[in-house]
Amino acid sequence: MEAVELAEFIRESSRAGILLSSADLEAEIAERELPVSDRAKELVQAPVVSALIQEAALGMDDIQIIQDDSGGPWYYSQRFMTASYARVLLLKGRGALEMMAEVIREHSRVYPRPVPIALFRCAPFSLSEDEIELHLKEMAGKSSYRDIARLVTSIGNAFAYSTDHLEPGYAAMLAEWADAGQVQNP
Amino acid sequence: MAQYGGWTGKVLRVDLSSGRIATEETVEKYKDYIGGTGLGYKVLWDEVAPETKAFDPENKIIFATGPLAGTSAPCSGRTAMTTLWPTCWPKNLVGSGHMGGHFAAELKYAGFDAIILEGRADHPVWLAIADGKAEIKDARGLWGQGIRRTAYEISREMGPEAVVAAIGEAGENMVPMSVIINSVSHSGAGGAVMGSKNLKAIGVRGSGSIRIAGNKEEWEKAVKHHLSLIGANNQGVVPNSPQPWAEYFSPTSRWVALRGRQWGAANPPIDTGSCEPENLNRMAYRTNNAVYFLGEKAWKYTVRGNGCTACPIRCHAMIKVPAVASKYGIPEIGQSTCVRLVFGKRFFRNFPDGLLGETSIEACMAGMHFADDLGLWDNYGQLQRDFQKCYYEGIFKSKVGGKEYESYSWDKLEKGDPAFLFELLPRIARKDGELATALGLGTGYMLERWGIAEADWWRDPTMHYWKFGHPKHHSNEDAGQCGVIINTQYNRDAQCHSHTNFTRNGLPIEVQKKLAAEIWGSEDAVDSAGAFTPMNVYKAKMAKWALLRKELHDTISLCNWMGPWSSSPLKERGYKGDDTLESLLYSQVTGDKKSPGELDEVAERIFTLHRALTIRGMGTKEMRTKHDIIPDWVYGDDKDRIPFTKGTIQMDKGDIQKAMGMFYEEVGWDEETGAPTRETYRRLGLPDVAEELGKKGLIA
Repeated sequence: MEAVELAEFIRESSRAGILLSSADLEAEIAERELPVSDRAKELVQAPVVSALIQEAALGMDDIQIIQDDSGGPWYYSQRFMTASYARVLLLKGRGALEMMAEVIREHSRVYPRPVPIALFRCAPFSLSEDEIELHLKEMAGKSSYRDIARLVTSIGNAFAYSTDHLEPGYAAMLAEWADAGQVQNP
Repeated sequence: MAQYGGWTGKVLRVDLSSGRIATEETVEKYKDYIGGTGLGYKVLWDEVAPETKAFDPENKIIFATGPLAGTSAPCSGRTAMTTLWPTCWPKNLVGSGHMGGHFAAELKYAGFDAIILEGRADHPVWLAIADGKAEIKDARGLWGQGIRRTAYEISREMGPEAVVAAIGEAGENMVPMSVIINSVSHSGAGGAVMGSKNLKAIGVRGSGSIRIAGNKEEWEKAVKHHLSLIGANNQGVVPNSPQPWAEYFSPTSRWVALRGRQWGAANPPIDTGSCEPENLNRMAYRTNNAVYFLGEKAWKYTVRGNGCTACPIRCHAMIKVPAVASKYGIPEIGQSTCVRLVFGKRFFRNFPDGLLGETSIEACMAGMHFADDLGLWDNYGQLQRDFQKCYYEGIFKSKVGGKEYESYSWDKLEKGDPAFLFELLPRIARKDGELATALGLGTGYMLERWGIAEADWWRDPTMHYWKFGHPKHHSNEDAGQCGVIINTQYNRDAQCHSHTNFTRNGLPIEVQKKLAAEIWGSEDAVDSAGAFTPMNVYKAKMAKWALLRKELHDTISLCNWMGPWSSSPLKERGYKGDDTLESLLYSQVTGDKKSPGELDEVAERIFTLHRALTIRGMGTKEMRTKHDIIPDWVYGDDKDRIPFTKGTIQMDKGDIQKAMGMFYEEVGWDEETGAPTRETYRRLGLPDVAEELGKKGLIA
């Protein structure tokens, strides 16, 4: 039952757009003073707190684990959070530049489309206008981001894209279509 | 009739010349055409001679619903008004306007599936329809009144639950660019035809209900299934920003709800919140078209979403802008959707505080106020494009000039002052002066009146002008060759959203291609926007599908601004929609079990009858060269990029010719003329149509 309670905490967090680390879960367990069941102890050979987390993760179909760059586990419920959203949250751990670049690259490759830079003001990115500008300027000076390019539409909005996936002319057309064209052709 | 549900079983026929009112049996007479535009085309084919003009008493206007109207089928609040189209240039050919609101359901509850209006009253009248009875009433006291006042007066007489479809001064004065409006803001073109008949309004009140032929549980299951497949307005199936529950998002989606985004003018403000697809109780929060069209500032002015009977989407955003009451003396609350939300704004190039500033919102409020009270039509934004071109290129000055030209405060226009609309719009509705009269004619007749070649409009791609006085409506910019084919087919703007509700659904191209393969036979049916590939047969199949679904929706009363539901927001379905949905709903409601293929065949019959009406009206079978015209700008590119390179929507002439040929083959039309063959008419149950056209030498 205790693991069920922990799983519910993971679900609530996912619904609110929060990815949880082991440390987050341990803190929650400590705060609630959740006892560890015998089943949890049997399930994995691990310290008791980890065992409880493992029981929640392994015992519930919807609880997913995603690993960060150092292999650390993060937890979410796929009932309330998609893997793609969880990935974006993990990207935040790599710093704003890397997060922005990866999002821009993914959109350029997958949809395909350039990204209006104002998007990064939304959650889960939650950057200020100044921060976005600053990060884009910083990217421009680093070779690891040489594929990240920027353009401005006819109505003055800035977009970013990856030249690895979109040709400049194509990116300009797609940005114009998204920013001005679709509203003019509703 | 007794065995069928959905239909009320009666069509009302009103001869305004004689005052005669009669009823006809819907199913016995029109079942092969179901209702809506199908019923309208059938009446025009049987009863209106091809030489008739839009404003002749011999022309008829048919207000028709389908079997889904008045039921709980989602997105079913549609009424089609079919008539000879007054802005269709150089000849008034068949066309239809489509309005949502509550008119369709109320008409059904009053006991009628459709109203056929014919003749011309000798003085202004309005038509009262209540629970199976109809009466022609004197409207001399309403003539000259706005649509709001008219609806108010009629509602006082019929009761607050009455629904009133009325024309304003524009319709009364037979301004071709006019609309019919019900339920405050739900418009469909054709107002001047009502005006030509001296018919000010139709008030309907019904206390009946619509019988569902199918099993109750099955019907409720079908409705729930339909609801589960619906996205936001125009079937955007992903939100416009990242949300925990969403695998994908698209900044251009109309699914704008998010925790923290509030309807700011509601009291207290309402948070749109997280609207997960499975939470059907929150569907109405997903869309806010004020924000989509007017910008982020519109959140603070939003009161709520409004919409049609049985539709969960509420695409008519209601906004409250107190400043306009004190500044301009107009109502502080307005509501509308799409191009009618921006009706006022688009006369201006810019505003003192920019295109998305407060002044632009005030211009929108003033535009909505006039458009919905005077009953003006925008022709999908062509009115405003024509206006700007004529002003900024000096056409007004050269064609009007002098005192009349100087009577307009052009400085207000150039400064972006919404007060300019107070000078212009009432004058269009009243045919006050040459400038206003010409604008009110619609593009084709305006150009003819002023001796301007249609080619001048074609040469300018920013005009979006297609043919016969009307603009493109989701053409190559949205769906390459498929969009071009669709835009060749009608006698007004195409009004087809079947294709664009798929291509703009917000899903990644690989997901779209997978879905396309299931519906049209190959991933090659769709391309990414601006990365178009040469024509193939699957694109022709998609074009045929899109057109037939549009006709089917306009016939059974489903909203083609939302459907077809070829994709869905459901990750667990792989974002697949349900292409059999129309068949499911129609069969359940009526009890007339029709497979998707059988229902598509009915849609094809209706679409082909539209083609036959056009052929008969034009007096030629040479549709390919004389009707299915493609403007030059389709073959141009501002950066001289060649077709099929990434970044251009330019089409290739040879490829488009191939596309038209493939489409004709798909629909069974002669490749050389673009006219349906005798065999096609026979296959679709239209042998009498073939016979009549054959006698006139109008069959391939």
